Amino acid sequence: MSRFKAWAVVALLALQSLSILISTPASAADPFQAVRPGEPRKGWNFREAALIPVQSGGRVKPLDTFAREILLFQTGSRFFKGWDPVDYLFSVMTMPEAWEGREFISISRGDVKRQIGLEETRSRFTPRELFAESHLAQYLNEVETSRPPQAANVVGSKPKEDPREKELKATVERLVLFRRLSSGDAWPVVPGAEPDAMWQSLAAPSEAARPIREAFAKMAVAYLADQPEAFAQASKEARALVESRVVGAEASQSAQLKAELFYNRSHPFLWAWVLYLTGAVFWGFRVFSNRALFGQVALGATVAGMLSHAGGFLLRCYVAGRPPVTNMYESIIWVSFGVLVFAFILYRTQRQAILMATACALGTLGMVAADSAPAMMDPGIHPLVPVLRSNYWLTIHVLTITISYAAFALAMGLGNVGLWQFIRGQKGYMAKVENLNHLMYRAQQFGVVLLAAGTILGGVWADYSWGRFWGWDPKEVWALIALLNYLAILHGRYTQWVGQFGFAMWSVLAFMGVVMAWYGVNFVLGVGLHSYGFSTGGRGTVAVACLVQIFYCVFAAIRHRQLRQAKKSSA
Amino acid sequence: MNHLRVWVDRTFRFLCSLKLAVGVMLVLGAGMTVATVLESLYDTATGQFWVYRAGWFSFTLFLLGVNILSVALSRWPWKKRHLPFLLAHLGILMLLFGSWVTQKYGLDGSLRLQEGQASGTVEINEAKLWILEGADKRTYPVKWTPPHAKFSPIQIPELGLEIDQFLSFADSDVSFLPTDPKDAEGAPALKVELAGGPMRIRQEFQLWGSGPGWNQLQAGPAVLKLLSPTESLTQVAESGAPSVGSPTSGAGSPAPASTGNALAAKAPRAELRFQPSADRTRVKWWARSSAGEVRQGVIEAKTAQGTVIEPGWKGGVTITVLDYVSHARTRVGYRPARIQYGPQAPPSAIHLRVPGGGEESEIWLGLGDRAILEHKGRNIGLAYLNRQERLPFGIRLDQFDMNFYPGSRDPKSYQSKVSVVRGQASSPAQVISMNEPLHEGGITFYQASYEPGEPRPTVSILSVNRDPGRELKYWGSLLIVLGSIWLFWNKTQQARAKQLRTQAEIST
Repeated sequence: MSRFKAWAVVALLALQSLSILISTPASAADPFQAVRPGEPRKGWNFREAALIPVQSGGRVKPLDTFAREILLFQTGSRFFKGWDPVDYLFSVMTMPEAWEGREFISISRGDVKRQIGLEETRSRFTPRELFAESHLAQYLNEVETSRPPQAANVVGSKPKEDPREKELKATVERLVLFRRLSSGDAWPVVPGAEPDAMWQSLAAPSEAARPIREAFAKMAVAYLADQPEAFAQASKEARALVESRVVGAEASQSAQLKAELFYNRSHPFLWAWVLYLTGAVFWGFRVFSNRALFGQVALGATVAGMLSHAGGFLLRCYVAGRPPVTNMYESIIWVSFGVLVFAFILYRTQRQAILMATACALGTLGMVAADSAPAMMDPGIHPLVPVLRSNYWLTIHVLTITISYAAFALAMGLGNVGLWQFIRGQKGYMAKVENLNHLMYRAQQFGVVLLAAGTILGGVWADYSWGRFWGWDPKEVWALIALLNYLAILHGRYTQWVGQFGFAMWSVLAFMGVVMAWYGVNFVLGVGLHSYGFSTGGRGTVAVACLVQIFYCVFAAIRHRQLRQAKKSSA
Repeated sequence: MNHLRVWVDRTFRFLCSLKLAVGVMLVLGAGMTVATVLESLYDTATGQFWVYRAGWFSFTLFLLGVNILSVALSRWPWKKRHLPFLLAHLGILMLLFGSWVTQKYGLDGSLRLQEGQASGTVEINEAKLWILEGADKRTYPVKWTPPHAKFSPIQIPELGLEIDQFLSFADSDVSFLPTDPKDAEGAPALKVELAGGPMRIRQEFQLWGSGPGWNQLQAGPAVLKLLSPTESLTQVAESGAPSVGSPTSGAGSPAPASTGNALAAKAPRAELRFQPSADRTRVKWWARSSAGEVRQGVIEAKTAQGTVIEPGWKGGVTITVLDYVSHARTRVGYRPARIQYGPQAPPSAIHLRVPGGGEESEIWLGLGDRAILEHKGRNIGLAYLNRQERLPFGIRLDQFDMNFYPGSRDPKSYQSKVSVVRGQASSPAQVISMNEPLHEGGITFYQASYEPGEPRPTVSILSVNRDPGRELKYWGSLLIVLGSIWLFWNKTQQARAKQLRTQAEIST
C-alpha cells in the first residue's frame, strides 16, 4: 500500500519535471534528446553557473557550494568519480532516467543496509533498487507525513539522536532529493520579495519563478544537447537574472560569492597539509643531518603551508562573516594552525629541528583528519544558533580554549618523541629527553594559562548569556578536568615526584583529557548546554588511537625500567 | 602541651602538603568524570545528586580551599618573590568562596510569562511540602532523589505525618472507587480493553460519566463515549467532519499518539457509545465502523465483567468490559512514569500518610498538587510545590518574537519585549534577547526558553538570577590568570639566568 503510494509520489514529481520543460519555448528540433546521457561534461566551464546565488541552509551561497553539499550528501564523497559538483547537479536534473540505474546513493551504516535488506559489502546503491525496497518506501511515507516537533529550549539540551535512525532518515532524504532535483523543487534560486524571505524553488507556481525557470530550462536544454557555448551563455543570463532579483543584498554579496567559489576550488587546507608533510620530512632529515639545505627547504615548506592555511582560514572568515570556531572541522583547522604557531614561538629561542618536525607531523595529522571525514566533520559553512550570536565573547573564549589544545597537542607530540628515545635507549638518550621535556614544559605552561583563561572567559560568557558563571555543564567540567590534569603534572614536576620519564609519559596521557573535553563531550557524552556542537561518529577511531597511545606508553615504561636496571647493574 | 604542638604542626603540614593537593585534584577529577557519565546516561539532576550537590564533593572542594590557604600561610613571612604564587592561589580561594556565596545567597529561578501578563513570582527548582492547618503554616524541603537511590522518609512529628514514598518521575494514575449511591459526585465508570485492529494493540481505557475529559476518549482512530441517560444513543453528527486534534484522553489512559495521523482524520470515524440506563443497572451500547456499519446491544450490570463486544471494526477489534461501577468517584494516585529521565519526563510525586491511620489517611501529591487531608476531624491543607520567591516588582511580557534564518526553520533569535511594573507605574518597554539580559534591582533576567504555540509562541520563560558572589568570582579569575602568567614568566627568567650562569662557568 505505502509502496504504491511512494511510486505515486514519484510519478507525480516526474510529471511535474516534464511540465517545466514543456513550458519553455523549444529552440532545437528535439530539445529532449539527451546527448551522452549521464556522462560528465568534461572540459566545460561551469564558472558562470557555479556563481548563481542559491539560498539554502539559512544563507545565500553560490550554486557551487550548494552542489558540493548535495554531491557529498548523496554520494558520501566530495570527489565522486571525478564529477564537477555543478556538472553533477545538472546531469541529475536533466537526465534522471540515466541516474535511476546508477549506483550513487550512499548508505554508510551496515545496520541500515541490513535493515533495508541490502548487501552490506556495497557502499552505494541505485535509486531504482532503493525505491523497490518496501521498508524504505514505508519510511519515506512516514517522513513525508510527519514533521518533527520543535524543541522549546533555547539554550538547553536537545534529545540525543540515534545514529542508525539518523542514517536511515538521511538515506530517505537522499532519495527524495534525487526526485526533487529533477522536478526543480530542490532548486531554491528564486529570490523572495523581501530581504529575509524564503526563496522559492524553480518548481514554484508563481509569476516570480517563471522567468528564472525559463532561464534554467535554457541551461538544461543546452546541457542536454551537449552545447558548452550555449550553456555558458544561458548560465550567464540566468546568473544575471537571479542576481538582479535579490532584494536587499549588499553590494559585497557578489564578491563574497566569488570568494566562496575560490575557497571551494582552491583547496587551501589540502595544500597546507601537503606542505606540512613535506616540511615534516625535511625537518626529519635535518634532525639526522647537518646539511643546511634540508633546513631551508623544511622552513620554506612549513611557512608556505602556514600561509596557505592562514589564507584558507581568513577566506572562510570572510565568507561566513564570523570566525570559524563553531564545529569540530573548524576547531581542528584552528588547533592545527596553533600547533605550528607555538612551535615557531619555541623555535625562536630553541632552534631544534625535532620540534618543527613534530609540529609539522601534528599539523599534517590534524589537517588530514579534518579533510578525510567530511561525513562526520561537516566542512560546510552554516549559520550560528541564536545562543552563539554574541560573537565577541564566543570568539574570545572558544579561540582561547582551543588554542590551549594546540599547546597540549604539541606537548603530546614531543612526549611521544621523548618516549621513543626511551624505547630506542641509545647512548645519551637522557640528554635528548631532558631537552624535549624542557620544550614540553614550556608548551604546557602556555596551555595551562590559556586553558585557565579560556575556561574562565567561558564562565564570563556563560554568565553573560546563560545567567550563571559555572553550572557544572559537561563541557565546562571536562575543560576543568583537563586543566587539573596538567596542574597536577606541573606541580608534580615542581616537587620532582614526576621524573624525566614520567613527565614525557604524562604529557602524552594527559592529552586524553583534552581529547575528552574536545571530542568526547560532543561526540560521546552528547549532553549539556553546548549542544550546538554535538554530533556522532569516529568513536572507534578515537578509541583505537587512545589505546595505541596507552600501549605505547606501557611499552616505553617497560623499556625505561630495563634501561634503569641495566644502568644499576653496570654501576 | 608539647604533644599538642607536634600534633598541630603535623596537621598543618599535612594540610599544606602537595600530597593533599594532588589527592584532592584526583578525587575531584574522578568525581567529575563520573558525574558527566551519569549525566550522559541519566540526566543532569542525577549527576548533581550523586556528585555536584553531594556532601563529599562539597567537602573535597572545602579541603581544596583549606589546602590552598594553608600552603599560602606556610610561606609566611611573605616576600616579594612570593607575590605571583600568592596571587594565583588567592584567586582560586576567591573563586571557591564566591561560588559558595552564590550557592548560599544567590537566586536562580525562572519566570514564566504569558503575553500581556505581568508576574513577579520566581519559581525555584526546589520542591517543598507546605502544610497549612488553621493559621499555622510550615514548609518542609523535599530533596529530589533519583529512582535508583534510596529515599529516606521524612517525618513531620508535629502533625504525626510521614512522607514515606517518593517517585522521581511520576505519572498520575486515576482509579475509580465505588461510592455510596446517594453520593452526588458518584457517576458510572466503565473500564474496557481494546484488542486487535490493524496495529494489533491491546490497551485499557477508562470512561467516567461525570464531566468532560472522562466521558469521551480517543482509542487509536476510534472514539469511545459514555453518554448520559438524556442523550441520544444513535444520532449521528451531520457535519461529518468531526474535529480531531482534541483527543480527550485522561491521564490514566494515554492514547497512542502515533495513530493521530492524517489518514485517520480523513476517514469517517469508528465510534462506540455506551449509555447507562437511568437506574444504572443496564448499559446500552451502539457501535459504528468506519465503513458506516452499525451494531448495538445491551450489557447487564451484574454480568458486565468479561462481556465481549464485537463492534465490527477493521481488523477484528474486540472490546472486553473489564469493570463496571454504577456509582464511582475518582481517586488520583501516582506510579513510576513511563518516561524516566530527560526533558519529556514528568515531575516528581510524594506519598504522605498518617502512620496507623488506615486507607483514608494517605495521599499522593504530584508536584504542583494541593489537597486536603481529613484525619480525625482535622482538616490539613497540603501542597507540594516548587519554592517561590516574590520580587519587589513585576515583569510584564508585551511581546515574544522569534526570527528565523532566511529560508530555513533554523531560529536566528528569540526576544521578549517586557516592561517593569511597580504598582500602577510601568517602565517603557525593554528588550530581552539571547545574550542581552535585563538588569533591574540587582536582578538579571535572561531569555531562557519559550513554550511552542500556534500560530506563534506567546509564552516566554526567563531565567532570573541574583548573584552576590559575582564580583568575587570575577576578581578571583583575573588573579588566577595574571598570577599564573607571572609565575611562569618568573620561572622562565630563572631558567634563563641559570642557563647563562652555567654557560659562563663553562667558558671560564
